Amino acid sequence: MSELTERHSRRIAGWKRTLIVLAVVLTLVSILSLNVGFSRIPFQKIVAVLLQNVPSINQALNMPEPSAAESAILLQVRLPRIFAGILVGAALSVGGVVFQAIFRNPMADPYVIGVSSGAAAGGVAAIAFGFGATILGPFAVSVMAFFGASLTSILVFRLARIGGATPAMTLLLSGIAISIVLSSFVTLTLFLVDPYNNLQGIIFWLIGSLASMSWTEVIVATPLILVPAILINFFARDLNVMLLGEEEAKHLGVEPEILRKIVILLASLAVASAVAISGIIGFVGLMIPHIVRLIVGPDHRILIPASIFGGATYMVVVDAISRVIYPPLEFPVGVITSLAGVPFFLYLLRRKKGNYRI
Amino acid sequence: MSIKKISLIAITIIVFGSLAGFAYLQTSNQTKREAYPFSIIDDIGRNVTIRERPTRIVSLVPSASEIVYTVGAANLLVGVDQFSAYPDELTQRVKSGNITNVGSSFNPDLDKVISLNPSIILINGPSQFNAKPIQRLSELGYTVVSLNAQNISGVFSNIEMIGKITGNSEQASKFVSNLRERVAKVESAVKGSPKVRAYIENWNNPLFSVGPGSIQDELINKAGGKNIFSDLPQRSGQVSYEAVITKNPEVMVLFHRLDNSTEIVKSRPGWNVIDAVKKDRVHYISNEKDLGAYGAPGPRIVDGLEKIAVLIHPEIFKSGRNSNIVLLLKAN
Repeated sequence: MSELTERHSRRIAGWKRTLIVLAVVLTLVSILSLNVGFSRIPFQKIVAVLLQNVPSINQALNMPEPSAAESAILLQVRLPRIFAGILVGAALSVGGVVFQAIFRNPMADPYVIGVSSGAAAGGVAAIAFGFGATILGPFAVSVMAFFGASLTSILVFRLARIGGATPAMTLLLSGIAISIVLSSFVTLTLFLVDPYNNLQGIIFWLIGSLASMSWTEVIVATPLILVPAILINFFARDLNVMLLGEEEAKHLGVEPEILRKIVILLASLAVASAVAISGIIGFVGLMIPHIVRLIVGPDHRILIPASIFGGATYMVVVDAISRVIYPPLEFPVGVITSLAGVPFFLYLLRRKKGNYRI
Repeated sequence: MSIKKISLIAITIIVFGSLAGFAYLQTSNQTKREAYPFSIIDDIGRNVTIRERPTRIVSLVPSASEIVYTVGAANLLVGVDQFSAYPDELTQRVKSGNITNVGSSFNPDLDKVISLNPSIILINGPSQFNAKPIQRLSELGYTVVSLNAQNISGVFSNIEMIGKITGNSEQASKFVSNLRERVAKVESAVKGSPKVRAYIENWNNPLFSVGPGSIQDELINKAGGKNIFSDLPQRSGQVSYEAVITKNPEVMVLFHRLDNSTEIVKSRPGWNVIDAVKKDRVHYISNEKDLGAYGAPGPRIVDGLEKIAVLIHPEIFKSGRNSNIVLLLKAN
């Protein structure tokens, strides 16, 4: 018995170490990526801008004075992008973990219950029907995408309800069905809009990007993403049990029906908020959970927080690459997420061959 | 032979003779103007034979519909795409059913096009969307001319080409030489003035700007400005907030109205440090209304050049009461 307790506490200690390492990596990557962009800004100036509220330190270190443009770029453009990358990456990968567990399906991604097609329909409608000229102003697309995503997941959930229960299978299938309908709506809108003016912009919004991020969006999205992402951690043990099967879970005191409802609600909220600010970014939500699982194992108590850090770090790195890979153009971030991630994933998968499970 | 008979014969000879002579004159006159058949090379390099003066034109390009009006062949127009809306008379004729709307430029209703029995079809190209309709209509024996002007001189040669096809060369070249003069006037007025750094935006989220080879880049250059994204590796592309801040434009020209007002544009993250924002030089221009460059640039492109010149060099140009007229102020 004592040996078991000792093994358990050793494992907990190992997890703590892993999370500390991941947190440090995320912090370092974020600071370094402040240095990456179209404009070459020396690192000393970055330090100077970050410490501008403590002038004594700057004077002591004799830091160069950044220009107005440089501090605008660092504080108003790059910093919100980095925070948005952290939020979006965290939301998508925690969403992926949750849906893969709930559906016991390695192919499930955070968009599985129609969040992405709902967001796409909302966002495209906002662009095509000129909601930008309403009171919503520049946030019209984000707000509509958020409502599209949330309403779709609620609708899918209600449709999947059979006699008071929402079985995983019907949930999955109604999600797919609603997604197909909404995709047709998006296609219809693309067909109806003026191909000379609106087509390119809509398509690029659908591809997803962090390029147009402002503090307003980041500040609004932060609680909407972080609160559910943190709360999901409290259900880690229940998700572990769910993977054994619903009957077994019931025997072990987990109520699959209630659990499903709560975690899907939390994950959908986080993912809908992410899609609202970034558009639809693929790969991260599907693959980061698998990559993290290959590294830290399938236990959700470590898998969930590690995926949050992993997804956030990955998104920050990929967004930094998209800023500088093809200047002065912004490279589509979704292309890099998959081009960079898939080889790494396949490498891990081949190394672990045989003993990989959700 | 009675006098009656002689006079009848005489009248007959005179009538037929003069008719024949008139007909001869007509033909010789027309021969002088345009010798059908002739062949032209269209904008995607196809060799197209124009067998005779077209009597029924279907235009699938808004700017081409406008050119048909410009060269004085409007009465030949029987069908247009859904975006052709200039001049106003065209819109009215479409409404009254005098001209048929055959649908989108890229995916026209081929049944409708064919039912109009066109002698010439003007189409946009080259484009992956249009390759099929062009091929299909050519296979069916229709005369298809593809238009793809990418710059001002392209517009001029399109006007001259449609003038030639419709037998209205003279009117077309008169119109073009007038446009050339107006372009030269703008160019000579800005000569020697410092180049104004200009940012052009076609879309707001994500930001889309234009590079060399685009019509907007050419207009900016001719109007005495310098496109800040003249280093773009392609004609159009997604740029970042940061790149715009770094390149610090003195004037911004927005070709969309996706935002409520220029205030929203000015309040974009970090843009308060940009010269154009500080000096309140953020302006809207409509691709469709101001440039006539809808899909492809058309005859109003020079109006657009003048409007842009006013935005870029307000110390040289000023809009006249009639929006098309540009007054020259003192250049110093």
